[in-house]
Order: sequence, then C-alpha cells, then structure tokens
Amino acid sequence: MIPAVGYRLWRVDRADGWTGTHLQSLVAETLWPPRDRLIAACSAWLAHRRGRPVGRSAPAHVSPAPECSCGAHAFHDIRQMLRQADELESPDADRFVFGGAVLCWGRVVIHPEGIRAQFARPLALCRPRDRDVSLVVQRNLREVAETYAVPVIDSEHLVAYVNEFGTSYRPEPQRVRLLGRARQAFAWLSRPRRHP
Amino acid sequence: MGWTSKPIKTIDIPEPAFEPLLTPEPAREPVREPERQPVPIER
Repeated sequence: MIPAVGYRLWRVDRADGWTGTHLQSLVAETLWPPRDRLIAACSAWLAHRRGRPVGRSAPAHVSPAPECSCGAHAFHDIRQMLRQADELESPDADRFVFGGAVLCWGRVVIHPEGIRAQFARPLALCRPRDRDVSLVVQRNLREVAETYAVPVIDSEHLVAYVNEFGTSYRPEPQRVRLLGRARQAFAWLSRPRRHP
Repeated sequence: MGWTSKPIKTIDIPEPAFEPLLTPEPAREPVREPERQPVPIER
C-alpha cells in the first residue's frame, strides 16, 4: 500500500522560545520533530499514561482512533490548505503560518475532507503565493526548511513533487454522497427514543 | 484544523521503504588526535 500524502498548515513563531524555527500544530502545542517522523498521540491517551483522569467520552487509545479527533491532520486537496491559509491572518512577521505537504502512514483514518494519521513527516513547504511577502518571512521560511531538510516549492508544483512519494486517499465523490444518504436514511437509529 | 465529518474508513499503511533515505546519517565518532609528547629543550 502506497503512503498517503496530504497538505496542512503549521504555525512558526520566532519570538516563542518553545517554537523557534520548528513547525507547530495550529491547534496543539505539538512540535514536529525535524528530519524525523511525528508519532501522533492522543491527549486522552497521554493523560491515561501519566495517571491523570480520563474523560468517559475519550477512553485511552492509540492515535488516531476513528471515534476520536486525534492524529496528524492533513487535507486531501492542496486547495483546501490554501483556502485555510487565506482565512488565517498573520499577526506579524515573526508569527507566521506556513503550508506544506506531509507523508503519512501507519493507521490512517480517512474523512471526506482529509486524513488523520499515526505517523507523518513533512515533505516540502509551500512558498507563499503573495510575492510581496516580507524579507523576514522569507528568511523564516528558508530557516525552517533547512531545519527540516525539505524544499520550498511553489503551490503550482507542490502536488507533482509530493506525488513522487505517495498518493492521495481522497474518497471518490460518489462514495461520499452515498454514505451521506445512507447516514440520513438511518439517522432515526441514533435519535433518542421517547418513552410514553 | 479538525474534521467535523464522520470517518469513512480506517486503513493501515506500512512504513515507506524509502524512509531510511530521509533520516539523517548517524553522527560519526570524533577522531582522537594523538597526544603530543613534550619535546625536551636542548641547552
């Protein structure tokens, strides 16, 4: 089976001593290890291993579990990643959001919009489409790319580059539509029953 | 980032065969220089 490729965003904050020139997840404090794979871990699982109480809704498990939201996230489509990058505003040059491609393997949970993976590794960083981006941001991007030993590639050429390493597991639209209809048809099963 | 939709399926993908090519080379042991002996000064 061929490894999965996906597209995602990271936060880089040069002013933050924790982040430095490292890629950080947008919604977690997870730093992606340079020149190595990221091993996904669920916070509920970590809490369990450290002896902390775990909520009933999230029992301890290996990441990613289908019923949880943990794992290394990546979009199927680069356009989704670029759209999200446009929506996020960079407060200043030191705190910047970089996009790029990742290679994923191990347990992979496939969603209509993207994947959640057990192991992931950056393949390349995406050069900002805005040509007027500041020199500070350009320097930051170059330093991060050197830290992770990955190239910086224009978004137009990124897909062709990463397809040399793996493939997209984007589900076919027909399959997504049929699954949606089937779920709608059987939605009454998940509704709470009224007792007279 | 986080998916709001329900998962379609779960698969297991083996580790890529070219993974070792991406990992950095192990650090080499430092080469020890031979200790220098003091040279006697002739008077």
